[in-house]
Amino acid sequence: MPDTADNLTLALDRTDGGYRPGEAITGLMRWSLRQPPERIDVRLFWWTSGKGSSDSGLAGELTFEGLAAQGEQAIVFDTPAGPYSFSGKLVTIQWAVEAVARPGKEVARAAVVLSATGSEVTV
Amino acid sequence: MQQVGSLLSSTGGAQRVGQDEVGVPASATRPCDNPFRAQRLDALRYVEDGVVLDEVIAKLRRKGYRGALVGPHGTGKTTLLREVGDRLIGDGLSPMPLFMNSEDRGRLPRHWRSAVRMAGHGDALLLDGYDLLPRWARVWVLHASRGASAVVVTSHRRSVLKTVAKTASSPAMLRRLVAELTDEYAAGSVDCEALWQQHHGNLRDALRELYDRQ
Repeated sequence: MPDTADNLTLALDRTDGGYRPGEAITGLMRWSLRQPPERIDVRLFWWTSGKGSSDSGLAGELTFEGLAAQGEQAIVFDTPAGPYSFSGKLVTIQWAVEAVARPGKEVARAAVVLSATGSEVTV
Repeated sequence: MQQVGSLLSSTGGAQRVGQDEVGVPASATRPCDNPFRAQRLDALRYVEDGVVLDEVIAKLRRKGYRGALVGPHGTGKTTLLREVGDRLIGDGLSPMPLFMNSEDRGRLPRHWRSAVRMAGHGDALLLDGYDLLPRWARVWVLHASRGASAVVVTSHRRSVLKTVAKTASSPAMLRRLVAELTDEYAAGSVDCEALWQQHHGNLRDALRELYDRQ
């Protein structure tokens, strides 16, 4: 039976996911959708979670239009100076690259760790 | 750096990015894994215990969509207000939620002023922390919002607006919320009665204490 489900994946070239400020995040996005998407947005962003209210920030965004229903696309983001991936008692700061096919609800995400060492800073 | 609060709502901000995160120690509970983290508390539904949402909406309709949700701290007023807003969408209204930040207490925040002025036909002003405005501002808000199709406020005490719901909490409500937030916490593993008493019925404070216990 043919697979008719929408599929969107995101694979970073660096499998350990750790990056230092200024390094390039590179990867490959693949999609197989029943209909050609209007566009696919890919974002590099961070967000907080923990005891207090959440915060978030966008560090980069790519938009791909005029796409076929199936295909693949290389992505590149330059990592900013911060904030570092962090986990303390009250807050965690996390980074991710996220791809969203529009219209629709297909989302793919890949975790990123940003710090001077490429590992999450813990206190 | 541009703020992207909408990102989190669209991607389920309370979720982890993945189960195979890298460069992350696998030791104590990280804030993003704490079952009592703020994002999960904010996503809780209102526990209908004495206050029935359908009845609140019916009262609001009868009162021309003007009313107050009244109750002590931490008894679900904000949660109920959010759900009232969701229901008003079904009545063809567009919710305009306004929240009072702690630094704005005792004055009329600029964004409240502009939103109230802008609200018109079809808009539902949802004013969380209305009673924290100074008296002159409360009067101004009610006057200036006459063009809005709905005005629903939260307040710790009765106000000029008709009370359409009186919120209250109970140890049973706390137990239900704890059970909903985590599998590890079976209802019996936390002394909800004592915790509820300790926080004088403030459910949010009680759940925040459970955050610290993780």
